[in-house]
Amino acid sequence: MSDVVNITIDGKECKAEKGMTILQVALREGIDIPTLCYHKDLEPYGGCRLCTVEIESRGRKNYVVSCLYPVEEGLVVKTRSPEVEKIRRIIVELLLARAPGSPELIKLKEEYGAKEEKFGKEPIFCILCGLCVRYCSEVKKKYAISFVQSGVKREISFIPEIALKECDKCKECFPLCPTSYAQALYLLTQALSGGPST
Amino acid sequence: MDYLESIIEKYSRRRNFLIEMLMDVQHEKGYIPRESIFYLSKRLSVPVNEVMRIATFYKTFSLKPKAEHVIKVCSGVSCYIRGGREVVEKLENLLGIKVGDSTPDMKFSLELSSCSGRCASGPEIEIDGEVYGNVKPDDIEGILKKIG
Ligand code: SF4
Ligand code: FES
Repeated sequence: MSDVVNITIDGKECKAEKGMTILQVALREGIDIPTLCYHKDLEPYGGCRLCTVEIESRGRKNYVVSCLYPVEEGLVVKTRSPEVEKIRRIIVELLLARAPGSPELIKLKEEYGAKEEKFGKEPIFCILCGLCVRYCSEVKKKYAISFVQSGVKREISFIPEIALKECDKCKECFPLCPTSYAQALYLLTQALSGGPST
Repeated sequence: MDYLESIIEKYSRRRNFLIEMLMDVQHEKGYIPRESIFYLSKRLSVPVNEVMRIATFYKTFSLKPKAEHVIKVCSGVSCYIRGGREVVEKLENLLGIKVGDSTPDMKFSLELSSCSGRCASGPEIEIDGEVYGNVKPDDIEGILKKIG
């Protein structure tokens, strides 16, 4: 029986299995936590931090990423609190600077009262959620998209040698992308193929 | 692909030595040829996008061949505030390329390097191992002429 743990989410007592994440339990209970990089068929990633929640465990308050944090006996979770809202608002503001016009971000902006002009715009349109890369690798096993570079230069890149053969008949990552960048980059990759490879 | 086979054998085909293998490729060829990424991926059963991610992550690796002369400009803070930025701009303008690229005739590659500790003589550039200190934008044309 030690495999079942009791936790509380927003005052609601829930039973959960060991190994589940807070987000998984919340989803099952119909409790809404916003996410950008989570996908039910993919390994948890923890890239966007939007799913941050407040927890109290053994008397200590902390802010954790609910899509990664495993449940434990007696855990008390608040999916909304002034601090949580503030964290999410800032995340949305930062992401909007990268990807203004993303419908998903605009919805979140309204929900959290984020200000679009807070951070200088630097539109590169990809928020590096990794959904396209991870979906292509983990579900489709085609490995046609890669993360490249590091630090501020990190970006995604289609590998033309694979993408030109595989992507036309799949395109399943396009609707996953919160910004349409995956699709745009694919078209660009297609257009550039035959040109000098870099 | 013989050179790749011997590199792979050197590490007993163990995929956790991928970074070492890439370092050997870089060393032997002066860059990471695109085919070697696909080859290593296949032989080690590591997804191509994983090899690609690693090969582009570290500054040690270059996916582009280096030109005959490699110009490295110190990107340390001291050199930068002593005029290093103007030196880079001048080089980019004269060569018609950006940092990280090579001229189409493969004569010059332009790179940034980390601080070498000779801050007092910055801005500093290094060409083919030879160091030039206190470089001013106006000196650069002369230096390039001298080399090639
Ligand atoms: S292209 Fe879209 S799906 Fe892919 S990492 Fe960027 S934002 Fe995420
Ligand atoms: S959904 Fe948890 S970090 Fe993105």
